[in-house]
Amino acid sequence: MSAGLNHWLLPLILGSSLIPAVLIFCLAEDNSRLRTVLNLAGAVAKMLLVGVMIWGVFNEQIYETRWTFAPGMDLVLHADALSVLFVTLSTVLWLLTTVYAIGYLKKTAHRSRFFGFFCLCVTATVGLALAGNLFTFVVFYELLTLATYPLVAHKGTAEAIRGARIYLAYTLSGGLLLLVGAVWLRAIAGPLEFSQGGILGSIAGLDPDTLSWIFLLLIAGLGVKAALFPLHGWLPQAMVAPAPVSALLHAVAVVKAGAFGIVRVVYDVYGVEFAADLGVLLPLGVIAAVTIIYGSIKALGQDNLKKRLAYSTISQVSYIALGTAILGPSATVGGLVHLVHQGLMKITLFFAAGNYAETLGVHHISAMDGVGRRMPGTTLAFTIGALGMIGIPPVAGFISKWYLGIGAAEAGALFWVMPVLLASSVLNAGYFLPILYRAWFKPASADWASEEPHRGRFETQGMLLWPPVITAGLALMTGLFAGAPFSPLEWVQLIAVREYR
Amino acid sequence: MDALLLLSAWLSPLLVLLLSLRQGRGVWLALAALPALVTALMVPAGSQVEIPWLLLETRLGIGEHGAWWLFFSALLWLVAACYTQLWMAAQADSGRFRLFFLLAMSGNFGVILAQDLVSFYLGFAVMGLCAYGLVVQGGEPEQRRAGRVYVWMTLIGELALFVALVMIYQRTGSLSPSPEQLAGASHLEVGALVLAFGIKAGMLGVHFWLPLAYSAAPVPASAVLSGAMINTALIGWINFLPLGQQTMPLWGALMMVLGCAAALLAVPAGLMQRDPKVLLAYSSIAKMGTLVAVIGLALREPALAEGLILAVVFFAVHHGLAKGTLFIGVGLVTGATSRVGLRLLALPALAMVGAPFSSGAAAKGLLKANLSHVDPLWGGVLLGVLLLVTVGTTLLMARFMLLMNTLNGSESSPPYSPLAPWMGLILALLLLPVFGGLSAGSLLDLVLIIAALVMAGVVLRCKPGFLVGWIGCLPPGDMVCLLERQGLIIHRALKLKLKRLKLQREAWPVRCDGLPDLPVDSVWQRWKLRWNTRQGVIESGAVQATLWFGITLLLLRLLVTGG
Repeated sequence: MSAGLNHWLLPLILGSSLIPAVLIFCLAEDNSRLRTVLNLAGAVAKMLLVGVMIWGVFNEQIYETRWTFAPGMDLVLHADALSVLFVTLSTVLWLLTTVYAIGYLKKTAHRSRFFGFFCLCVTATVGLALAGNLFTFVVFYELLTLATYPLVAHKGTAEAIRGARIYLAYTLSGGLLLLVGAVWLRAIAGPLEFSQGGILGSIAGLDPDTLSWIFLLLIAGLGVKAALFPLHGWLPQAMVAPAPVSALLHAVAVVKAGAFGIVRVVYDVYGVEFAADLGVLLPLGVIAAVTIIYGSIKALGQDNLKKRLAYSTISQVSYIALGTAILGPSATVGGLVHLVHQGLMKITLFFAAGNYAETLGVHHISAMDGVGRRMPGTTLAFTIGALGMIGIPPVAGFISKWYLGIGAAEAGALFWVMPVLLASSVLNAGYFLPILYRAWFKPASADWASEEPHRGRFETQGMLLWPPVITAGLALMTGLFAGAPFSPLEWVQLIAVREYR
Repeated sequence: MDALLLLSAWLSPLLVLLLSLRQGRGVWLALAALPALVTALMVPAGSQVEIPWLLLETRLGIGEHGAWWLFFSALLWLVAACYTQLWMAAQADSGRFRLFFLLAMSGNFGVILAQDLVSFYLGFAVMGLCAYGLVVQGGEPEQRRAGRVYVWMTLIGELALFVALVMIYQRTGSLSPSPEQLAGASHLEVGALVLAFGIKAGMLGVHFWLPLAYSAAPVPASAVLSGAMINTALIGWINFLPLGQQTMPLWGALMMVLGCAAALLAVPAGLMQRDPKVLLAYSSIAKMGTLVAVIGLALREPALAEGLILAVVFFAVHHGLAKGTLFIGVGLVTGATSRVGLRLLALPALAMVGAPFSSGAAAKGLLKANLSHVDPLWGGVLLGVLLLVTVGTTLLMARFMLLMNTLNGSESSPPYSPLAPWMGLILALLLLPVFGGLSAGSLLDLVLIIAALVMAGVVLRCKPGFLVGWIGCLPPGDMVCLLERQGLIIHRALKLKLKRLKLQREAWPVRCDGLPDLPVDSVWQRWKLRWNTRQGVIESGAVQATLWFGITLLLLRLLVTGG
């Protein structure tokens, strides 16, 4: 392997979605074949490049690319174990979502615009994952905000535009807070290169109070995207977006970017032990706990399937923040591995919700009676995702919950974390089990509103069916084979070992 | 070879899953249970297979009593599978039933074979949740209700188990802790274990799902529920409680009190029932109550734990086998016009009672032998309860036989209902005492049994109104009706409140920025009003923006002064 490739690998990974984005914008609307080829070629190329990167990082190879913007302002791409985790997740799910989106948006208008921004959105997500310092992170974070707006508003209805506006208002103000925090921190602590174990702990002479305030700013800024209570208001509104967008939004792109940012700030800027000394972890943990419960309670009351899933995301993503807020390697493992597990499970649920809407015209839970018989593959995938969310083994969610529980016990925080985990499990069961019951055990009440004439041998188009089935399989396998080499769990344990070294 | 057998016992139900889904493929169900049966016979105790990449380092193996548990559970699953075809074939949803049947079977075997915490939890959870599919198979409102109660209780049990296992792992640092490592358990851990498995065992207070589920489930399902799955509670307690390592007087006393109370209260509750399956369920609560009390005793007296555990295992195996046989018998007898089945049904009923030379007498003998060294107070109480249970069980079984006599042939019989698999179960039950020490039972027991039978005869003949009048007074699931009523009241109250809120919202259908001019006398009420408008104050754009602006300003000011 040449030094050239090492230098260019990360820009190439970004380029593999940026270049298709630019090309797709230039394409004519009806040139769907070329657009599909570009999309898939980009996604596959990214997958291969990421494969190379995983192998390299596993062998402690260093990939770094640096452009100096202005003196002291470097745009840095850097691959460490944590970024690999997130990049891999987004790459795999991007490929599947692209396939799904192609099937979902067949014969609708503005597809060039859609896929262009779709690619941009992934570019921003991957860039944010590979960001080597806080400045680069903020740049991609803002880019992500802007690239996602047209996707949320894609349908162009009044409701969609309203949802997108709310989204923009929230995330831009969040971005502003993040920017203020980052600049402030830069001013007092110098360049903020992410490094495992944190950087602030080793800089002498910083005022702890100031650092706590900056922490608040950063977390508030990131918390908007991560949908921490009370900054979550945009997420249920943004579910007006088409299903593939919601899927990507909830599983990898926006919400995860916020959660990933929190992880970065706590582990690689402040350092988890230093943050614990500052006393900022407990408030973060409490907010996460409140969000977990609040999201679940709100989810109980929703009849719109996507809205229920949206509130469920609010709740589940906070597991990551919760794991981050508890000091100790097991909690770190639990939080980080949920980054992947929640992504796999939630994308499955959104794909399935999209399938019900697209194939049967079913948007509401009350209309889901008997869908299991009509769409067994989709419903099976949905079932796996839902059981995983409740935390039932062997689906991946159980592994996250297990490590969070162990981590809480290690840190002596069992008395408040365990009730949160249990309440969340009960509430998850409360809003998922009735859906499963309707789908599998109730007879179909009437004909479905807008069932398309059934063609082909599957319950719906293959391009809609296979993505949820594959992601459900992945969610099942990451749980079942959690102890296998290169499973997310193993990888996260590698990160945790390096973090607490 | 051992490893292969262990794996196949666990996985064979999953392997035949797809094959069994089609209509009329019930034969696969029976085949799925065979490897477990072979494993129980062939694989020596103590053998283990480790699969480090599965879950978190899965370990399967045959523990100290594993072969016993596995053999008799597999036997019950096998016979239940044979009859599934008979009762379920006609139903359109039988594919779904077979799916849940196999999954629950795999979970059950998994619980028995698991040697580490996580795979135990996996088996327990899969078994518990999939049995829901068996309970609600009929699809009638009462079955749905039973399923609802069942699934919530199961879920609570699983969460309690999760807490306990997390604490065990955190404390011992091992996914397969040795008995010595279990010493030093905290109250929370033991309490969680008692609750988790107490639900499964039908311990008093959390027993109410049992009569509902047993009567709602189709015959083969209630047979495995009552005969095989219920025993996982005992397996769990034996595996994870610090029995023989640590004295836990408080929890021990609690289990003894609850167990003895269940043993005594369940008898009249069962006698009041009209449905034989509900009656059998109450009989299970009584018998399991005895075993709960024995486990409690073992918690109090670590020195005697080993013998008591052995007695519990044998008693549980006997009870499971007899109860499963009785449940399948209920199905066969109600469906058959001939009286052969009814006569044969007397055999497991007598075994339950503990007639001389039956497995019941052997089980009771073993238990009593181990009780003789216990301190006189608790040991005496337990011995007394055992005597009362003997009387109670005899009465229950007498009433059960009476009910079956009236129900004989009450349902249209399936065209072909072979007795052979069921007779295999009866044979196993008759042979069981050979392994546990043939015992004639004590003379006192025999006298009590005969006295109880005479009593039953007298009641049957005279039908005294003060006794007969009680029949049907207690709804199946007793407590649950109370709980449901309370729940309903709360639900209605909540609904009313919500409705009122909604009315309020509808009265002022405005956004926060356009509050109506109302005579609002306090700031707090104004805020409440705002909250009740459609968006709610937190989620409304205007207020939020102000809030953000304020925070940003504040922080910027801090930046200037502090930075």
